[in-house]
Amino acid sequence: MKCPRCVQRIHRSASQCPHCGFSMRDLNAQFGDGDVRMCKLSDAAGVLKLKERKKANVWLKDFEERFPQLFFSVYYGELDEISNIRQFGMWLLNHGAFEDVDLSRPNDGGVLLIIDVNSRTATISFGYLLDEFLTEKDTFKILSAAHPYLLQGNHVRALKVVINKISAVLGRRAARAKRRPEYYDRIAGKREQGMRDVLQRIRPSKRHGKIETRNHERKGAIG
Amino acid sequence: MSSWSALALPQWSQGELKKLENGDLVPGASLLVESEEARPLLVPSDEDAGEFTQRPLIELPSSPQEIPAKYLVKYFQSSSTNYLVDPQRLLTMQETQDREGFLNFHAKASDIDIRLYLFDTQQVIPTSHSLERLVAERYNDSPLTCVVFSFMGDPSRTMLAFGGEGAEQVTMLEQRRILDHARIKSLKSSDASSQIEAFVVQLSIRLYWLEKSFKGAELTAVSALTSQHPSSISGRTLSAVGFHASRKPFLLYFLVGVSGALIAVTALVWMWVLWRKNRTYQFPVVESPRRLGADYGAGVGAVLGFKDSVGSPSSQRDQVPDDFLCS
Repeated sequence: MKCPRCVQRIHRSASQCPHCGFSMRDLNAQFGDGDVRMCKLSDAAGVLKLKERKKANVWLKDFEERFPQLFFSVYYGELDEISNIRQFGMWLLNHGAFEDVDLSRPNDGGVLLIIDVNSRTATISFGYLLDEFLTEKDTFKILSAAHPYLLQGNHVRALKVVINKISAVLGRRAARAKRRPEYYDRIAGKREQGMRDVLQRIRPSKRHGKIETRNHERKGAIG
Repeated sequence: MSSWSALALPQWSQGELKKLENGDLVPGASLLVESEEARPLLVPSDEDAGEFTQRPLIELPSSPQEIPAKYLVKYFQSSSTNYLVDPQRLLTMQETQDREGFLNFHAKASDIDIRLYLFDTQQVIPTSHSLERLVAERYNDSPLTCVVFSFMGDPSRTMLAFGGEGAEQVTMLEQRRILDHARIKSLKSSDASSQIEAFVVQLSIRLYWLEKSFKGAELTAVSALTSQHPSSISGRTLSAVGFHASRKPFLLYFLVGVSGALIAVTALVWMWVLWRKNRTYQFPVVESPRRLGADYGAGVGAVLGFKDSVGSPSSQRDQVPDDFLCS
């Protein structure tokens, strides 16, 4: 997990960046405090044709069908020079009121693709639900796959590639989480190694009495 | 020198001269044989000489066109099992073996046998004998056979005729065509033996196609007969029908099997695609602590520029901190 401003690694529960002091308050001060009413497909820059928008909406719907907890949103905009696309993405994900997204899918499960046609940059922001399932490296690979189409200005094709790639990655991760739930639980810190786990580990050796303990002590002394 | 000149030279007697002419006397034999006992054996007696003069040495034909009578018998009257009939030994031993080997091979591979009769270049078949007569007399009851009269070194005189079962199906036109093709092939070579070889090989090829056309026609006829009068099918055609009929169900089963397998594979692939398409993925809901004061998410992905069409995505990845706001 990285800070959107200084791009330094931060703790998963940091209330503000320990390196630059960044927090959501800074973004609220810059972009505003209120919610932004928008659709999953927001083409403020006007890069998509009507036909392409229809197609894109179908893809977004398909994504939602495959991932009942998630939704995919894309924003084509023209950001000013001051705005940072990484921070804007984070702010939009937290302040976006997606009109065409079911209430059962909160923004925690949102994946937001931001494309700034002015600075010709693209980024992906995602909610807390995907914290353990999507990494910055994944998003780079996904955007790299769409890079040739972005260079050509073929935004609809780029969107299709991004949706396909991200679906594939998330599909794999979801399947893995189903197979090995303990792995993701451990990453998420759900089963924190409290006293109970520690005691469970200690107990078996205690069962054998003092001899075992002595043996351990001897081994430790030799080591 | 005088003593040498004084020696008188030996003189031939009339009897000796006669013996010499007949080949009964070998000059110098008395010098070469030292044994006195063996010498009389070398000099034939008058009785022996008389016998030699009466006995003909070789029965030579009066003209090169004539086929000696004893060979005529071997050609036209004796029954030979060989596919190559060459009583005059016109071919060398090796050539004979080669030609016979090929004819045997052909006989095994084909239903139409080849009987090759070899004659010398200028020899003429006497009027009392002919190819047609030979075929009618010798090969009428045998399986279909192509009888060839070949004249060494003169392929243009080669003749052929078909005899045996089904010979009437081979039209004169077809025979002519086969003969012409084989002749043309054989004329490409100048050597008599090679001409025969080329002729036989080409003939074998033509007979193969003839055989195939027979089988096709037979099958068509049989199928027509089957649809009209099933009882009128002969035994031989029935066997052909049986063969094809026995093969047909297997072909049908094979086709049905392959089609079924293809349909099954297509259905499986289609089902797999549908399953993949309709598959839904659920993520375990993990209580994540709020980060940087964000309510819904602080997941920051990579920022990728698409300004430079030459540069790689890695070179256009933005990992630089936002200095403006940091400062």
